[in-house]
Amino acid sequence: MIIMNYQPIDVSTAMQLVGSSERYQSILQAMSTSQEVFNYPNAELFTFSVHLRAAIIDAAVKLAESDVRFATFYGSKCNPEYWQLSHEGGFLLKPNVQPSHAIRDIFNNSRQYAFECATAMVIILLKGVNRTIGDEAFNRLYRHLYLWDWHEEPHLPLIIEPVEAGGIPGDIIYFKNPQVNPRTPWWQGENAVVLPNGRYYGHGVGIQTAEGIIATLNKFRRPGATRSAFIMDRATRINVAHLYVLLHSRINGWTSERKGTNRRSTTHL
Amino acid sequence: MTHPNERAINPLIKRYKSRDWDGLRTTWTDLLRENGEAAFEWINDPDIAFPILYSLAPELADVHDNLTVKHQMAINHIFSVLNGDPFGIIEGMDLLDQYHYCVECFEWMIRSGGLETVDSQYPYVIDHACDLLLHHFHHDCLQDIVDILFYRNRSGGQRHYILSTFYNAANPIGLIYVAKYLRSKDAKDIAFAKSILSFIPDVVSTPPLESESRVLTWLEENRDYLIYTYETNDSHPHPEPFRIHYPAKYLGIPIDHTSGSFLYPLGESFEKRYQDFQALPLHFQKQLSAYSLQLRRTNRGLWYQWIAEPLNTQVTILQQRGWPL
Repeated sequence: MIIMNYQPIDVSTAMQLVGSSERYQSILQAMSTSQEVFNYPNAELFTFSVHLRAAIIDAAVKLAESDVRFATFYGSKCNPEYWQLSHEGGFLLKPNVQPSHAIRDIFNNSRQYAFECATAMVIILLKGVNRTIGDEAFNRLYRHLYLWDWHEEPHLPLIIEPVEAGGIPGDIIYFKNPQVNPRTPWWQGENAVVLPNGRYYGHGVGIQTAEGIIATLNKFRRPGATRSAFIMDRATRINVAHLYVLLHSRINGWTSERKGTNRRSTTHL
Repeated sequence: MTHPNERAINPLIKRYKSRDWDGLRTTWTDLLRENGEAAFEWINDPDIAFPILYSLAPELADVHDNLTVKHQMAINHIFSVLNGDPFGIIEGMDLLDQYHYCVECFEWMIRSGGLETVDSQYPYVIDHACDLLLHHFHHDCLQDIVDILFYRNRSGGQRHYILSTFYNAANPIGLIYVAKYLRSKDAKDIAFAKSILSFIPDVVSTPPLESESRVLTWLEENRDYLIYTYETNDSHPHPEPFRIHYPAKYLGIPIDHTSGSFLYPLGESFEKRYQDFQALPLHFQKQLSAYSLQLRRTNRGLWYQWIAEPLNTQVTILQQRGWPL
């Protein structure tokens, strides 16, 4: 259900606010029919949130179409023109490089990159944020990027929330493989972006249905395994309200983050 | 086994102490050329640390049969991890002996070489050994894993997979080993410990020693009632590996951490109460279970009376005693 300014709104009203596109429609439809309550104080934040979800989905599809390879953290690879590879397999933004250029390079020069699935999710989120807020604001917010695993980027506030039935398009969910073969620990699970029409993108498995990803993970279970891979019930999302505050703080020349913003806010956005 | 000279210092260990890996290889080649038999006694010395064997692995692969079973297994493990070679077991060896040799070998690798970084591939070999020992051989090495984890964090080394191994252990005891690092003098240790323990109330916002006390108190109160969520550093940015099973805490019946099933039968009256309790809002479940635990620990006789009361009476009693409901 979508609530805006204390009133429930239907999909057609929501479409008038966010604009007309198939992508928006699929997001709004999923939000509207969900048991979860998506609560927004105003139209501006609601529109920002839906546009961001759409941009995250587009970024996931673009990464799926690229030549980026999956690699464990022991074998991470990046373009040294933009990034410095750390000992733990992370990518540190080089000085004097624009963050927006560096993120775009991952998609444009994809053959030069290899990384794990959690890092892929952060890259997708950042690409989505970049498209939503534009280069100027993005370059101001993300001057000290470090891409590694779910490493906490102070200006990319993330929340983890309970979700039902595989999440809403633009969410990041996790497929857990509880009896993974010890020879292949990187198949312990798969982070995946929820796409429209019951599809998911996981870095390393591509775009598939939930059943497809589960079947892939099950191939990498240990001999004698009895438990199937499964979807976990909490999703990772951008805390849109917090991001919005950060964005406007920066634009207005404030130097520090608003204090007291709860990264585990229970308000669904 | 007797050494060539009981009082002599093992030249390989001596070279290892200076972390001179190239020099170590030269020393080995020289030893082997001068006196092969003595060289194998030095390399098979029980005091040899795993990094020595690791740095000599390419050379030792050719003389595999002259090594102890433990060292043969360690060499097999290295090539299994780095090259994907099958992990061979010693032909004709008794199944139980194989198991014990494997446990001995992996434990030795972790204990003598976990807090070390020979080269960029080395953590991969150690991580795999930890994962196999804990999850395949079900041998408790959680404390060693935590120590390696903090070593890697301090030194900026690879820690993703070993942290996953820690979470996948699904063992609340691991949280105590992490809490130990809240006493560290190194700020990096404290920050890392707090990040792992951040799902426990008030750990992040309190000073380190108070955080430690919060962790220990929380575990003391909830350990029997924790259910593993399967969340790890791979699945979520701020994993919450355990949640409190409030009905279990309320009824005072321990659960299996992984399956969440009660460790002994509820009985007819508790079964009905369990169903009713589960239907309560979460806030009520939290308060009732906390009160139940407190009463059970301080006055079991009174608790038996209280637990037999209908749920709404229990709530009223809590309200009368000023519990926030």
